[in-house]
Amino acid sequence: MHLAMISCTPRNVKMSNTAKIIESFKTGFEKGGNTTEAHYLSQKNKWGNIRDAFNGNEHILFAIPLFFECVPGIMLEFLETLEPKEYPDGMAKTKIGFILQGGLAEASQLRCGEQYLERLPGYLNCQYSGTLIKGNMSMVSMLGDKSGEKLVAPFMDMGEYYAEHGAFSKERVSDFAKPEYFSKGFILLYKLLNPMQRLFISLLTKKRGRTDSLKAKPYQKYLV
Amino acid sequence: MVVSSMRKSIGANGGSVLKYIIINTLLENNIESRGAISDLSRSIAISDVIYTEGMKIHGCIGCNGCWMKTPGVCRIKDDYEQILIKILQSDRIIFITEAKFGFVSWKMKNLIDRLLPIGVIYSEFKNGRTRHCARYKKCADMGLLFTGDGDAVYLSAWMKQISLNLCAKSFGVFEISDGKELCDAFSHD
Repeated sequence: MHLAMISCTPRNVKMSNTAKIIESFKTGFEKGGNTTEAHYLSQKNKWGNIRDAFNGNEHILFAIPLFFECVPGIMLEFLETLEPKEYPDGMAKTKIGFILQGGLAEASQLRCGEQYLERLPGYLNCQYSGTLIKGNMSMVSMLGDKSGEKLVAPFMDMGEYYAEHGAFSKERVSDFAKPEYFSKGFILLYKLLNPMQRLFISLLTKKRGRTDSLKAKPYQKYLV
Repeated sequence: MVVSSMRKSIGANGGSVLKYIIINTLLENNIESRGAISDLSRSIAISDVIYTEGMKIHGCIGCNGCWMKTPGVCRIKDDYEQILIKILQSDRIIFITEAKFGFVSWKMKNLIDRLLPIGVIYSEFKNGRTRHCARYKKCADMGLLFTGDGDAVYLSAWMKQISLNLCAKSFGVFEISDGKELCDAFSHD
């Protein structure tokens, strides 16, 4: 199977969590002789080639960061340049799968976006082959190459799984994406450890050139 | 940028009333949009109508600079900042947009995505789920009117979620011809 993968993040490839997920997924998918091609919507000068990839392939995977509970504006902008696919026999052949990743850890944070993606292939006259969701991915780039690679490593297995089954099953995805919600015990622990997490973020961002308090209110002067 | 100050947010007795703004990605001369705004302005005091067509508004580039480098300030320098200030100053926002593929247009989603500086990077638990903390004490409640290929059920669920994330309230999503229903939702609050 040949899979055209399209990264839908506006972030540049080098700093992109989504691109790192694609790399890991690709390694698993290509085991056993499958092939892939990767495209990046952040490279707007290549949208013509990406449209060709969409139109010329029967297996497509969009990899997406969650922006405000759904897909980023850049993905919608690209989609609006596409025409629904046409088939000589009228039967939709192209299968579209998705990887949807977000910063907050619970799978429940990604369900609203997943619902949209379930409907999207129909608008393009394509078939839906599932959405792989995963939270806690915002740290991939922040933690650096080595620790970041550990976070995206599980996507390799899912690449292998997708190559074998041609789709993501709901059950497998839920298992991969868990927890759906945190337990009460975890929430209590989180509240206890939250000051330490905040200190870590504060120190990390200060080291990287933060200019103001993380809770700064720069537009407060306009609010009277 | 076209900003029309339609009516001052001052009540008849001189007291302040809720400040409504409209953020509209449709053209100013769009007939449906003009009709909807005319209907809305009969029921609520709209202080500003912002037509984004012709404004220079880039999509969020996902750099997280507004959380980690220059907290609260987007690093993209374009016409969006004036919209963000209007949003922060308002009590209720009505988004008007064309819909595509069952969802809002990319132009509207770009506007929503750029709301990120309203939150902070820190998170907390609210109703059993993690949420990013709000940067300011209040965020405007919101409703949406759409024209075209929109899935009102999905859009309503989506707007409810983003409102929760912004510590705000959703007044629902309606077809542009049903602006009165949005007014009813406002008035029943």
